[in-house]
Amino acid sequence: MMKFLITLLFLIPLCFCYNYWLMVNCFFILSFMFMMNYSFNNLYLNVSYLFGNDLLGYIFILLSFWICALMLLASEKIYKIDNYYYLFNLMVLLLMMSLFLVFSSMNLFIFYVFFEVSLIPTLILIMGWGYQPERIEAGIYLLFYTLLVSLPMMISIFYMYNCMGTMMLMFMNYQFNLLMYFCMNLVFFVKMPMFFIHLWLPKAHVEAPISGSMILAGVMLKLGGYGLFRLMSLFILVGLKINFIIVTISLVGGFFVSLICVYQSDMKSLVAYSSVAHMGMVLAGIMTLNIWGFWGSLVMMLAHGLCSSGLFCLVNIVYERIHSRSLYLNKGLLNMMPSLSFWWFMLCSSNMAAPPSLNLMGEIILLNSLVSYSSLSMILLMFLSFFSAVYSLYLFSYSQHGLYYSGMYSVYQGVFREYLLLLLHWLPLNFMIIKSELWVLWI
Amino acid sequence: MFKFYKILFLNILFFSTLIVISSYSWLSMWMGLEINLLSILPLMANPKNLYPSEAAMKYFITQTLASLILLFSILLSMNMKEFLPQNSSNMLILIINSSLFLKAGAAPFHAWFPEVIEGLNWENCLLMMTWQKIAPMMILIHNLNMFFYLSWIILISSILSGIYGLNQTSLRKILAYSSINHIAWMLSSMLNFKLIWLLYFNIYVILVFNLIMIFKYFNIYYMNQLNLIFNSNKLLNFLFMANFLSLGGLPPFLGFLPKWLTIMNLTSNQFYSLTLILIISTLITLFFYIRLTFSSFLLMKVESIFKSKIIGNFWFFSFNFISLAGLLTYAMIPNFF
Repeated sequence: MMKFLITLLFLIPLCFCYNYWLMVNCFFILSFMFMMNYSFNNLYLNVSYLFGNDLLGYIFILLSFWICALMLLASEKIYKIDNYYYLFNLMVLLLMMSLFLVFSSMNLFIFYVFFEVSLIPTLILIMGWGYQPERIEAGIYLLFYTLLVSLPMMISIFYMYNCMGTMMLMFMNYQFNLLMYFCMNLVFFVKMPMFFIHLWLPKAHVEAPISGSMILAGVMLKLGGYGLFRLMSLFILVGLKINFIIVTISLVGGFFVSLICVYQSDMKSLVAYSSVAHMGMVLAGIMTLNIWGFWGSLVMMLAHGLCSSGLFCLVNIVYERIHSRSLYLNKGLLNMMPSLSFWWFMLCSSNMAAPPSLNLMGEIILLNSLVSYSSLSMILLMFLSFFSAVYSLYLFSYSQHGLYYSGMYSVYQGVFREYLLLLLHWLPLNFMIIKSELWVLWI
Repeated sequence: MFKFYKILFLNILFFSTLIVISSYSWLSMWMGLEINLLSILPLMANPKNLYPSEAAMKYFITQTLASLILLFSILLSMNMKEFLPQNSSNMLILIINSSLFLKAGAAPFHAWFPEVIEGLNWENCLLMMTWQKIAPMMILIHNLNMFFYLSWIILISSILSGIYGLNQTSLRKILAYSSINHIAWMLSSMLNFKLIWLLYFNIYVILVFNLIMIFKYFNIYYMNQLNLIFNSNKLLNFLFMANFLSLGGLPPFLGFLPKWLTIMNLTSNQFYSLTLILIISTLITLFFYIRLTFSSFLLMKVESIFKSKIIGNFWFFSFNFISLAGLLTYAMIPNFF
């Protein structure tokens, strides 16, 4: 683990070398190198200095390497207009470092510290490179929603330490009460985000630059799921009593959010709300506490990380040409960019869990888990699946079909970088299902 | 004209604090406090400006009042019991502690503190916020008997400083309220384990020193002056923001370390609700720190033609490095042995 950390550390001077593409290459090389580090099951491998990875951590670290590389690939504009791109590189690198340490930490407190650390580069990304003055509000929302619930978590971590005498995640063997359940997990619920406390997410996404949106949807939301995976074993007794509340809130909330999606006119906001709906399902899956739920949640998070990040990329590609994200202006793009329309279709269909995608597998496993948890959830799951198809199709058909906006004066078609970017989102998403048992070995 | 008497009084100021913290008799402690007060007054004075004199006057009145109460309670206890009682039920300890809180500027006795700070220049602010806290706090450390009273002081300091600081535009007042908040943290850090107080105080000094150095260099006193000042100097822009985040106690920076130790210590001694309230109220102070750094966060692209001189000082960067990378360095050093 340390070799990757040291590699990342020594990438810091490279950020200031005025060579943007070198950083992209480095991130891709790192992610391919990290693939060699495959760890097979729930045991920690490659342990060095408090850090190690089991399959769960491995998947998330690989995802963050991948998303960080794609972030740089997607924000070429920052490089082109010289918008502090060396600082941008540095922020992405720091974010990657903190995510790496979060996911590879074997110690609960180190996990917590870097969980908070990852907030600050994200905040700087949103507030530094966002487009509108409202990004200040979005940044404040992001910071204070998370901090308000994560600081009580710090107290409860120390309480745990006093109870158990250790903070190593492997040795944790205790059952805590209801108060601890909420103090520990509320931060993950906010991060996921659970319905009712999801309000920071659409704001942050709408104001964030493309890189901020990609990392938020791709990895930061998964931090919540990751934390729940690690810590739910400490709350089994209390979880059996009250998890149904969380499951209900997430499923009903996911349904409502799907309805909210359908009346969005801002494409980015639509994708953001769709990720709230998907993460609601993930949260419900974790809260069932059965093995199918855990498997499905992991697969779903992985799939959603790639898929929604790809959708944000698409929205941004359109935004860079038309300078609007409004669905009323982005009509009939099929006429403008027919090849891009293909990627719109592929990613939208992945988002609605169409067959060859990993989303499908995740959704099937989650359906099994939730139906076995309570047959009543079938009603909500039916609505959730249906409406996820509805809003994905809505996004696709409204942006691609129809008359194009007559004020559109000139549009250049996609460049190679953009197609590569979308391919690199879509390829893992649809090819990982071929060897999908790799993602369910971790438990 | 170079004012040599200021050097003299600065030295006396330092020596008087050393007298206070190294004396073992109450009377010499009181004496040290008095010398301390009398030596800072000439440092504040400035014949060209009226406000420092006003601040000095306010400072003089409150501090003499505090010293008087201290002396009164010492003498009273000597008369009553021939020694200073160490059990916590005694009202005299309460009076002594109150006078020391008044000296340090903890919250219910804090009203003079922002007023005085508002009239001073940045160097004197630094002195007031750091060095002047040492003496009363060291005496407090040796006389911590009333946990209940102290907890109330901590709670009121943390909550009031957050709320009062919200609608300030003067940087000196904001730093004063943040100092009151940090006093609350320092008091809670000395509840159980004295060394944490030392660490907290040192780190607080480093952070405040960094900030005041920037403010002093650019001669900034109000919030609206911040907007354009960093345009030509991006590194400083970044350091400024990071220092405020550090002061607010966010993890990758040094400011998190003493808070971490304090919280750990408090929770291991079952002060859960106290810790919770401290942390939540610190969030409010963090809010107005962040509000100050909006101009830095936004990476504004209005570059001024007049390039201001970059602070190329070695000490400036080394101090900033401490406050930025200190936590990681501190966490790594023990592993090398």
